[in-house]
Amino acid sequence: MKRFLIGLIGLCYAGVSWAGPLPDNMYFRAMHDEMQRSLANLHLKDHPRPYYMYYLVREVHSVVVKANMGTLAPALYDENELGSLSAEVFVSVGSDKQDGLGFSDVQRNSWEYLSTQIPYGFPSPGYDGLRQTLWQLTDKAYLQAADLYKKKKVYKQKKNIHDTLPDVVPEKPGYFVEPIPPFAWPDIAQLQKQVREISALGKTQPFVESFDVELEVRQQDFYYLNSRGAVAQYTKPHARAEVSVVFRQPDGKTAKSSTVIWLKDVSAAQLDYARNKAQDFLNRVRQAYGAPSATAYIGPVLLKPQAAARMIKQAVLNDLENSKPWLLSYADDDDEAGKLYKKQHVRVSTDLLTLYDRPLARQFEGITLLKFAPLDKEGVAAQNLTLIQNGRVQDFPLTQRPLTKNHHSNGHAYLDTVNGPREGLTNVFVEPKEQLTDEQMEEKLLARCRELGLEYGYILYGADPSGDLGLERIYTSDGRKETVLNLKWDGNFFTQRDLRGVLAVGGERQLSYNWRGPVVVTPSVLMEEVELVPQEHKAHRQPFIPKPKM
Amino acid sequence: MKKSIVLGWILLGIFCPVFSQSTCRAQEDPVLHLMAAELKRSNKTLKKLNPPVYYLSYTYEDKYGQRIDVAQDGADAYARRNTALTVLARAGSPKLDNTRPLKGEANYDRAFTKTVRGVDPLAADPSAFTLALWRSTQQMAEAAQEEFSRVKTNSQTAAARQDTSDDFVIPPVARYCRQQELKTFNTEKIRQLLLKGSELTRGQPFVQDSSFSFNMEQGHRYFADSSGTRLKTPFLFVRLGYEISNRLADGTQLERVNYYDVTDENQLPSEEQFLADVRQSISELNALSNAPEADPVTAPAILKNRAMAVFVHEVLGHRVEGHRQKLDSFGKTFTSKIGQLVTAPFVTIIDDATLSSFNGQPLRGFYEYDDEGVKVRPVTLVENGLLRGFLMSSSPIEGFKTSNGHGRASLGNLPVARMGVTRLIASQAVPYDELEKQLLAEVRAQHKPYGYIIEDLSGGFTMTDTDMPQVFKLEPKLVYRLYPDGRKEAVRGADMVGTPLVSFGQIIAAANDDAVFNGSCGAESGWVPVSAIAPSVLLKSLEIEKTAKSEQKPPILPSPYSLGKGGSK
Repeated sequence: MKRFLIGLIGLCYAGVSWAGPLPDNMYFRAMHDEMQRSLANLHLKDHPRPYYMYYLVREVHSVVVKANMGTLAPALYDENELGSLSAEVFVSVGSDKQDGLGFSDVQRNSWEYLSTQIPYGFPSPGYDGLRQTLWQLTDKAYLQAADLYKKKKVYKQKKNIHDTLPDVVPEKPGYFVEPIPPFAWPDIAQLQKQVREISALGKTQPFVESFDVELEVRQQDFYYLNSRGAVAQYTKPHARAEVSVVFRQPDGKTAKSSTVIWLKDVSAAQLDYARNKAQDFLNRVRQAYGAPSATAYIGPVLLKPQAAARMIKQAVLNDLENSKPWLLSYADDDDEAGKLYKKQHVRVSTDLLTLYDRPLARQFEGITLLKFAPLDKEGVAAQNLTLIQNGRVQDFPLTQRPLTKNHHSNGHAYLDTVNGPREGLTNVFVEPKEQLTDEQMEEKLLARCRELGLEYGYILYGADPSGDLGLERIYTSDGRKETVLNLKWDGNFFTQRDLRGVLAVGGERQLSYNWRGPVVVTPSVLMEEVELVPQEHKAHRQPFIPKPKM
Repeated sequence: MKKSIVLGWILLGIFCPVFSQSTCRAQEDPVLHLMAAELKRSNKTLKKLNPPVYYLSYTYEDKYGQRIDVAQDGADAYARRNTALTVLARAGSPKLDNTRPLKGEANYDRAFTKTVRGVDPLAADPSAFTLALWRSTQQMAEAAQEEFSRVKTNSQTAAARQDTSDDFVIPPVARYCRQQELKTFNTEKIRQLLLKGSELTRGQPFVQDSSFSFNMEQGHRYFADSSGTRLKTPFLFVRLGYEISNRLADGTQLERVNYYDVTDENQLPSEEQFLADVRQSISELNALSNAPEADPVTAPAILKNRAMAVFVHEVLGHRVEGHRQKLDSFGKTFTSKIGQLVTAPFVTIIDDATLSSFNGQPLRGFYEYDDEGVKVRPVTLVENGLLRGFLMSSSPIEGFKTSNGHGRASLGNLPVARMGVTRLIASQAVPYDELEKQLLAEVRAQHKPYGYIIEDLSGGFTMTDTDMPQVFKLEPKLVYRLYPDGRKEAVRGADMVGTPLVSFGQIIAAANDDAVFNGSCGAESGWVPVSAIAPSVLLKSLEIEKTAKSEQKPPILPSPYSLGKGGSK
């Protein structure tokens, strides 16, 4: 009987039915064949078999062109037809009722247990090589999953935890397949010329010591398959330029700053756009050169989009993610768990803005949204969400790991680099209640400052709380602006209450991208009260070797 | 555990001056010209500072890299140019400067150099390069002054040094310029060769992983210092190779590695030879996978030539690096042994990095000027068993006041004394077959159940500081037991261990089969290319201990290849 059952299990696993036809390429052939074999045969004695797994293969092509102060750096691109591959393998053991996930026994990145990645730069394999790689990674991921499953079971017994909910409530597997176009190689000579010229802008300012421009054109192709039958194939092309400056203040202090310019493509028009943005950035550097130091301030502050994105993320977005706390053997509480889940329909914000999460949005004003995800990491079709409307929490990102009895995933399981497969956000859009221009936002700031009898207010530009170019003082008397230095904005200490103190939302919207967490598209936000504290300032002696003539 | 020579890590080859090349004039070279101009401008100020920045050097490397990686049926390739500039500043005086090791304080985080990557002095507008020189000089000059004050305080508050030699001797002025045209190889042909080699590993259940690669790095290194030295030297490292590996149920990691260092395409192995070598390595991996595990034991042993070359490097070479002799934290195994017998009287050991090839095989440890701008000279380390000298950088020690051109570093590190091409020469040598007979005789005489033949070593490490045991550990990758009846048996999991004075005294005979080991050596001044040459030798006694094993078990399922070619494609 036992042998019969084992045979039956193997047979069942071998018979995954896909949500749609598998694309006919070597990625899916390799993933399919190795997944079928693993589900049917991968088994360690006295441990449960894998009951769920996914493969995600990512192929990346990129061209990077870099120049500094008018000098082109040696090429940083590879004319590699195949691009670089990385694979992510996820294996879970147990069953929907009880698996090994949602538990961590060591205070480190839990995902290390559950997925295994090969680094970029791995030789681009064909079917055989990819399958060989998947085989090795699957084995490792299975052993880790089996280990964690046992540990979780022991932990729950020790803590006398009896779940009333299953660990997983499966949803219908998603399907999203689009053709992958070949990477379009840009005209590199043209890019080099443009990047060199943009970087030469730095030579126009005698106090600038380095003006570095790095332009990247990249295409990421994704191939996803999971054992519940979900299939995805899609691509994300994007282009961006990062401009970094080093300059020396009159008091000898070396200042650094950088900005990212997102581009629709690398057409002549977009490169002109990049040049203009780089010039704007340089203008701000010029304004910061020799700017006065500011004193402490508490009062209205206009957060421009990059700063607004940071505030919104800190105040509310972090607490909308990771709703289901993990079991941790090393701590009583999961600090990473979001705090808002129990506040659905509670008023947490001003009604001047509405927050949406749009995983299905591919672009914002022609710029690729890097968190576009038609299916989540559990293979569930992603749904757009209304997060906060009329000041109240509406929807939460949900995975297949239930929070209530009538739980349904809305396709928001993401394997964050720190958190593991948890409830996550993708492309967050902040929509203002009424459309205001940048000028109207500044007027509102000045009006509020005048009401409070303040001589000036502040406009905060950058997301970097201690950035050298991020702060502008605006005078109530005549609207005059001046850059000030050495005033620190602590962007890490916003709370939900701060969203209630929003006075106005509007102006040009911009995209803000962080390596961790969602992309945020937001206009400016006028805050009733922000504290800016003086930053310790250390002057430095002037260089004893004079700057060479350019 | 600072030093290691690891074949498996090596991606490089060796420069050999047989290519189309030309002499040039350092004064007219545009890169050296920019560097010299900035040195001149900076020097005006730096020498007047208090404390003075008395010495400054610039090193610029312009490197073209080409690489092909093959794993299973896939290949990845790139061709890329990398440039890097390193600025080094010394503050104080040669007697006492900022680079002196601090006693009782952490030294690992001290920075003496600054490296800027991606600058190009040959661009139409070299502004970024000039600015990088200026900014880095300024930063390192400030850092050197700050560090000098730490050193000065430390020299007054810490215990006295045993060796009171100066910290630096300013290298003599040198001018040298040689340039070399970039080589090209038929990379498509090489890619196909690697794919064919990789193909042979498929379907072999005991080959868990494999990688085949071709790597070429070539270009020029430029050096200029505040004394007036101006150097431009070419380099060329080309290597074709492969690694195949297996992991056994008990966690033992097994591997076979083979590399071909060449300087010209016609030196690459023929397809027939290459594939035959791959088959041989597969066969050896299979034998090792089924071999018994070695037990801890002492027994007479032959160290085959390449293995012996690594032995010389690790066990003696690192202990005769000059700068270590004045470090009070260093074990000083040989410091006071000049003129004393340290090994068999028929053994002479030299380091001659002026050798570019040996028996037609390129030597990657070859160079013309060291990384302090000093012309390299052959050094006799051991002569007829007697210790004669040390490898010297520009850091003098008692009795050895000048550099012999062995100050070496990878970009971004402070040069220290390092090996180049280390060679053991035996004045009495027999054919290898005779050496095996001597081993058998020794096994019988010592009433041992067997002796060992260490066929191949991948690398190892040696500990030289006084706070650790003065031991070495080498990691053989192919070891045979030789039984008294002449039978040979492969064994796995055998590491060689010992202490330097005892081990070097165990040499009792040598063969006349000198061979080359090319590798990269890692130490406090970074990874540098090295070579070692030695014949096979017979050791009266060698200690073998078990190899560390992986905690990982082999994969549960067999490789997809074992299902048939290409799995169930």
